Amino acid sequence: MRRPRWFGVVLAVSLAIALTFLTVPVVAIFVGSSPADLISSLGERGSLDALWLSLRTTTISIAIILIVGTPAAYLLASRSFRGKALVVTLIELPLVLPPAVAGIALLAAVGPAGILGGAVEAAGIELSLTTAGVVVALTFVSSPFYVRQAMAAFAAVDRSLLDASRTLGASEARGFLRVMIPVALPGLASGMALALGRALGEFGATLMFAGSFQGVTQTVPLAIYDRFSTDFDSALALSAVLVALSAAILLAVKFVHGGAALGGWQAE
Amino acid sequence: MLSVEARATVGALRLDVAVAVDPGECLALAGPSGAGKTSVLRVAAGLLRPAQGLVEANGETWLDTEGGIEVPAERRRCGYVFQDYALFPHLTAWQNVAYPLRRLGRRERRARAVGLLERLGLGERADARRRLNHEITARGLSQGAPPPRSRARA
Repeated sequence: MRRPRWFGVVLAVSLAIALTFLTVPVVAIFVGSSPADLISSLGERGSLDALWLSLRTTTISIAIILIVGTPAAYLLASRSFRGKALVVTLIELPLVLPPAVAGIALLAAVGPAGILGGAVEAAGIELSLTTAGVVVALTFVSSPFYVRQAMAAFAAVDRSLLDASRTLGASEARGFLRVMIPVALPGLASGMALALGRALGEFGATLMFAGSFQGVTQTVPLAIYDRFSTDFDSALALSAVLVALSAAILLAVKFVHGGAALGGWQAE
Repeated sequence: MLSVEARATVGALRLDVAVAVDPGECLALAGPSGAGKTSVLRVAAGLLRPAQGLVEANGETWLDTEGGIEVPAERRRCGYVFQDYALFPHLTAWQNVAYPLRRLGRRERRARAVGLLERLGLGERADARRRLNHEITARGLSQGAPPPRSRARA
C-alpha cells in the first residue's frame, strides 16, 4: 500500500517557510550589530530614558489593569445578566481597534478638546503629552487582553469550588480572594503576560495621544522609530532589548502554564 | 429538624418538593438522574434560590421567599459534601480541612486539621496536594461515599 508521503512533505515545507520567515528578522537584530555597539549605544542618555520610561509606564498600567480588571472579569465570568454579550464586546473592542484609531479616540475623549477634556482638566490632571497620558494609552490598548483571558480563566474554574467555600462559611469576597484567584492564577498570569507584551510594544496610540518627548512620553518603541533613520545602531540596540524582554515574558508564561499557555491541542 | 419546601424551575427541571428530617434521622433521596435530588440539597444549603420556598433548620428560618428572608449559604452552618468533593486544588490536605477555621493562628489551625485527618487515618498525608483525590479513589474508599477529607471538612 502506498502511503501519501507527499502530504508529510507539504507539512514540513510549510513549517520551514514559516519558521524562516518569522525568525530571520529577529535573528538579524542581533547579527546586525556587534555586542559592543549595542552596549555603547544603550549607554546614551536617550536610550536609557526610553527604557526607564517604558518600564515605569508599563508597570503602572499593568498594576491598574490587574486591580480593576480582575474583579471586572470575575463579575463577567460568574454572573449572567441582560446585555452581558454587549458589555463583553465593548470591552474587547480595543483589541481590534487600529492603534492610530485608539490614539484619536483617546484624544476625542480625554484630550484637551475632548468630550471629557474639561472634566479631566478641572480635576487637575494633565494627560495629553504627559507621562500619565502614556499610561492611559497603554492601559487602553492592553487591558482587553487581560480581561478577556481572566474571564476565560475564572469561567474555567469548577463552580462547585466557590459553592464549597460558601458552605464552609466564607463570603463570596473571601472565596474570590482565597479560592478563585489562586485556582485561576495560571490563566490570570498568561493574560497579564499578553497585556504586558502589548503594553511594552505599544506605538501608535502613545504617539498620537502622548506624543514623543524624550524622557516624558518617548517609550522604547517610539525611541526606535525616532532614530532608525539617523542612528540605526542605536535603534537596533533598543530593539534587541525589547526582543529580549518579550522573549522573557513569553518564556515566563509558558513556564507558568506548563506549555499550554498560548493554546494548543496538548492543553487538556 | 430540617424542613425544605421548594418550587423552582432549574433548566428543564421543574422542582416541587417538600421534605422534612427529624434530628438523628437519616434521609435518603432516590430518583433517576435529573430528578432534582441535588437541587433539593442545594436549596437546603443556600446554593440555589427557588422561586418559592421555605427552609427551616432547628427552629431557624433559612429561607422564606414570601417573608423575604434569605440567610446566605455562608451563614447557615450547613455541611455539604459535593459530588465531586470540590477539594481546593491549590491547598494541601490540612489546608483544605482548615479552610473554615478562622481567627486562629496558623499553628492552631494546622493542629486541629491534622487531628481530624488522623482520626480518618490520613494524618501522614496532611501536606499532600492534588493527587490525594485519586489516591482515595484508588483505595476504593470513594465509591458512593464521600472521601475522608471531604468528610473531615464537612
